[in-house]
Amino acid sequence: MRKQLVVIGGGPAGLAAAVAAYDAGVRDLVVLERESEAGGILKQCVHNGFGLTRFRESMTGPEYARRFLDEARARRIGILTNTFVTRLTPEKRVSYVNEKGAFCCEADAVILAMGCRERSKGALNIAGTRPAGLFSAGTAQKYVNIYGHLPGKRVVILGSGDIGLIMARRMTLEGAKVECVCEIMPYSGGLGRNIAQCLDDFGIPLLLEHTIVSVEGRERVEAVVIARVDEKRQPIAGTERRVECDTVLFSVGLIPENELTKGAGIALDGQTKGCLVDDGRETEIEGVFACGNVLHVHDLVDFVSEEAEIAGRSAAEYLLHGARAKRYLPVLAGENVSYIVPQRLDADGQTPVQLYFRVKSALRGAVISVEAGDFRKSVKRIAVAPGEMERVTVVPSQLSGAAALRVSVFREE
Amino acid sequence: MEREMVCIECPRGCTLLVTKTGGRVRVSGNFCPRGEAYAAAEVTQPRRVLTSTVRGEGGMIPVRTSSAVKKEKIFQIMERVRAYRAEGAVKLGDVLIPDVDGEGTALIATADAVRLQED
Ligand code: SF4
Repeated sequence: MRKQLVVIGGGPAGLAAAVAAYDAGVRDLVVLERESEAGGILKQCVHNGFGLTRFRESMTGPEYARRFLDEARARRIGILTNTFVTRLTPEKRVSYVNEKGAFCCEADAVILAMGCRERSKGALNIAGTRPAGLFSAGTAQKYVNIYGHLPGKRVVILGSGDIGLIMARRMTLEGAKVECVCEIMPYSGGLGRNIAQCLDDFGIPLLLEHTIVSVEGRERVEAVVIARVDEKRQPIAGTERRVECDTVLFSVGLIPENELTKGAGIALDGQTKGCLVDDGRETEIEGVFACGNVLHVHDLVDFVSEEAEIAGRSAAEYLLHGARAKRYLPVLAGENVSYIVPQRLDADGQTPVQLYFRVKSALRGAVISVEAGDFRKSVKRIAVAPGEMERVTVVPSQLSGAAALRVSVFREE
Repeated sequence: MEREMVCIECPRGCTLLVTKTGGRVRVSGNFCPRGEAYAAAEVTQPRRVLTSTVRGEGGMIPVRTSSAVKKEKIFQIMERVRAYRAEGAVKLGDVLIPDVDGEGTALIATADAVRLQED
């Protein structure tokens, strides 16, 4: 089989990328989705708050996914479900399996939109037994919202990522008692609005600089021991406290799912754990693009859609107008910036480019500073936090002659 | 009375400072007017859109309230939501319970759900 464009993943990123590529003129395309329905993780995110930035309305996850699925269907874009991609080669050969058999598709362009998975390391470092009742927050979400089973009645949550916060509220609504959320860092990894509406609304304590040091219980979790941590994130002796519970949820972050990408030999960014891309979201391999949570973990799906459309349009341009020789301007993460995407810009680009980045530490009163040769730009923010992605806009062609572009974040004087 | 709160109306999450003196509510820290409306409601009658799932023939069906309900009624409403069983096929936007809070707010499906295949 041959296809002009193969989109790997039918979640919000893959669907938006496919629709954007179609609208830019690509007709010979297919979306490969491993689950029985497209929509990705949004299917189990039954809460609202999606689309506020993009559509100025508060949608639930299934409603947001549906909007993009309807767009794809209206264009008759083929979506192969229950289809698992097993391999991608640097020559853009995509191998996949489904109930009809094993296939190989020669693609002229590929968009990577495989999304992310939950980190598991939080669960590994804890002493004590391994009884039933330990779940990742996303797995618990699937149990409750898709299968209709409540995983437990008394819950302690480790990590204050958004899924953990959302599940604190969800399990409370379903009749469980959430004892506390322990966050090892001095700030939450989730959005401020989720702390307000998921924890504060229900009187659930958020214990910053706290961790779980051990789990007790033979068959089922019976309790955890929590403790305060010092600046090195080590438990402080004497601060231990035993909390009875039957369930522990881990919400310690997400990581892009890049096995296929690695298999194709595409370089990854050590910080984002996603591909290195230019402003069109093209990876190091010509004609291979990446977008959404496989590129870097987003906190808002609105930005996933925005990024996916960039990738879709770039793929269309590559397919319809051919590859262009580009001069690249490297983009560097400066002071207090943990990562920045894209990692390089087409130096001759005329249109404004949004740079997405995260800060390393929270600041009240911050200045985002962009430096490139003689070019300087600074933007003020009331507050910045690692849990909330920041954006700043530049026009590459206005940075004439710069050797690199650097974004830093300083405390406002 | 003075209260600090985070506005939940959009991802910007402004920190609002609300002062209530007599009947007058004053809000600062809001980037847009929605923050002021939110804060005023928070100190008088807080409301939330409730989302959950109900049991259907083919599995769980995601649902939401058609508009924000009184926060103090949320657990009462949840009891009705949990007791409810959807029959047959359901379409996104279908009203499942016309008046879920006793004040005319509907409970609506947020996804299509198929009837259980009989074979
Ligand atoms: S005040 Fe306006 S901008 Fe700020 S969080 Fe509320 S809705 Fe968003």
